[in-house]
Amino acid sequence: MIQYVIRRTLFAIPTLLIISLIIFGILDFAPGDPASQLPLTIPAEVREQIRESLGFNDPFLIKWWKWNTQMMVNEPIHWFEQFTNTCVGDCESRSRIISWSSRAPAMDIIVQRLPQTLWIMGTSFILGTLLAIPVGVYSAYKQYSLFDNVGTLITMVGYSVPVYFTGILAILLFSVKLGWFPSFYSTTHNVEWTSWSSIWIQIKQMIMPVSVLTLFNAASMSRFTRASVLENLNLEYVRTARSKGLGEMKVINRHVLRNSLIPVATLIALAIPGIFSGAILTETVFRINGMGQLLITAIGQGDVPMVQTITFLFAVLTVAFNLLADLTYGFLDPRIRYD
Amino acid sequence: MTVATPDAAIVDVLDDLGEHRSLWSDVWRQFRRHKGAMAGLGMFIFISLAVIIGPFVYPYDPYAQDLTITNQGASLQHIMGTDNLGRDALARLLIGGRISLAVGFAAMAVGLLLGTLVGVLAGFFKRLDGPLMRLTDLFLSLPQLPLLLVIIMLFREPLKDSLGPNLGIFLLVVFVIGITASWMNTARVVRGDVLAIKEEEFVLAARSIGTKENNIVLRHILPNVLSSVTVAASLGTATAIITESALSFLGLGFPADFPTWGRLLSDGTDYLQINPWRAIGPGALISLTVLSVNFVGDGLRDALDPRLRSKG
Repeated sequence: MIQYVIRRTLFAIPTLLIISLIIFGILDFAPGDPASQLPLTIPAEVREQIRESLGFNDPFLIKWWKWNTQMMVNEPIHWFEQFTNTCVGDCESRSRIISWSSRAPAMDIIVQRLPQTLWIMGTSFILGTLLAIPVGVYSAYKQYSLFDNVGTLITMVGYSVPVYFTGILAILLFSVKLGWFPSFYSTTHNVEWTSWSSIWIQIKQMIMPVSVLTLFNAASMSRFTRASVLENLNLEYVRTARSKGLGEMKVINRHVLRNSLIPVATLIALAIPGIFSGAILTETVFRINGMGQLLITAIGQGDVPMVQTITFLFAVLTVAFNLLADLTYGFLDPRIRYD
Repeated sequence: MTVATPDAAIVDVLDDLGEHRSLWSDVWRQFRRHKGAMAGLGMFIFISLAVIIGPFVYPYDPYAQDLTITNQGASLQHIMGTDNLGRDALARLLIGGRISLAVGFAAMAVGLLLGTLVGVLAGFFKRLDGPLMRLTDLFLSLPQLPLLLVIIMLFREPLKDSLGPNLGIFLLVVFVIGITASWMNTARVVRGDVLAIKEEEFVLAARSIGTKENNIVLRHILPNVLSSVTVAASLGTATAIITESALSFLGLGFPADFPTWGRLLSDGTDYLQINPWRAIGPGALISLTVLSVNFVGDGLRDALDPRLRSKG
């Protein structure tokens, strides 16, 4: 198992390098210019010096290499220093990725935005899984029953209706008509975990975005689960388990569920980019100032380093989740470990 | 079961049909039993006809502004009300559907061609299998939406200048969605099919009478992967329509004066309290189209699955 984990983890590194090359390569074609937002009174030669100082005129591979060291070496060291309050090497002059529009290190801004995204995305991912697996298993177990038919219809709808439409419908119904929940997410609200009213405000503003995203995540997951359980239910080992007198609960939970979850783990990993897209769109609908919103603003401003950093972070998260799914797969299915 | 004397019942059925049963007539018989798929097909045909014929029949011009009647709610004259420039919302909805559907189909076609090509190459030629499948895996782990947004931001202006705002953006959106969003699944499915078909005896037979490699692929292998390609096509259309409207919703699709469903939805959200129909209309049409296409895909998959078909 340990060998398998190491092999898988090592395989993620070249993937990330190639992805960073693709992202960097595409953005290098950008017509953007770090000096374009400066006042017009700055003379041309000073502009040229500013470009030079930001490394804008370096050859492609050098820029890519510099960016990679900044992203993968300097930033982690910086956060390590921040966390432990120490100084590793020349901590004063270490170069970091600087946003063109705000002139601040891109990662500092991203770190301010990260909690909102993780809150919404994480909650809805966990809730979605908790909802999807029981629903998928039960509707496969009772195939063609009322529960199955209604469930299939709802998952089909949840899977097909885009989040930016369910979100708007939710706002229209619960904010405009009923006035129950706020129509946008306020980041200025500081949650005090000792006061119920403060927690309640946070819950109230999270309900709509989280449930919209949960519906979307749960729909595709429960479709996968249902299909996988259906395939397993007709296999011989289920009949064996029943014929040796095991209770239905045991047959389903111990035997069928464990075998059915193996392909589901892979399918969920494949759905991860879709989940990120859903999160970006949900952030736009509910005006949550998370990573997705930052990305869209940065694209609008032509802020190339910021866009690169965020896109790359999304890629890192995708690869990390894929790795996690692969490891789960290896854990669930011993055959995979020894290929 | 004896082959020489066919069952009387089967002979009857064959007589009723009056011809031999081809794969596709068989699939259609099975498809018709899937209620959801039939409803989806009906809905999809209805929406397509509405956006193709609708703009000719509906009396209002989608581009005509009338500043005396801005931001009206639904009324008998304007069924879905008017927008902030006094244009009829329903007329814009109908004309916008043409672009959304056209993008959906074109992007699906691009993704399908690419996916089938990669799948067949990877399945048929052993040397290409490893690299091409690694490439597919790499594309599957790319962050789709951020990358799409970035590519469109970068290439929008140059293409607009060289090909004109409408055609340039259309081609850009179609190719970018085709290349980043939907070909990977097609490639995987097709590769799996080709790997199995390659070992069949009819391929061996073809090879033994000296058929050239490319003819084996074109004549003997491609027709046999068509069924899984059909399913992939329907799912690819749904993905493409959703992706295009997501791009337009984020303001990075077509230009503002060029209505598509995603664009209309995003414009409509700013006027939710004044005229909710401007948001509900396009949103509902996107959802219904995608839902019906997905149902059709589900039905096709069931109909093409030989394990299920033999039961019917």
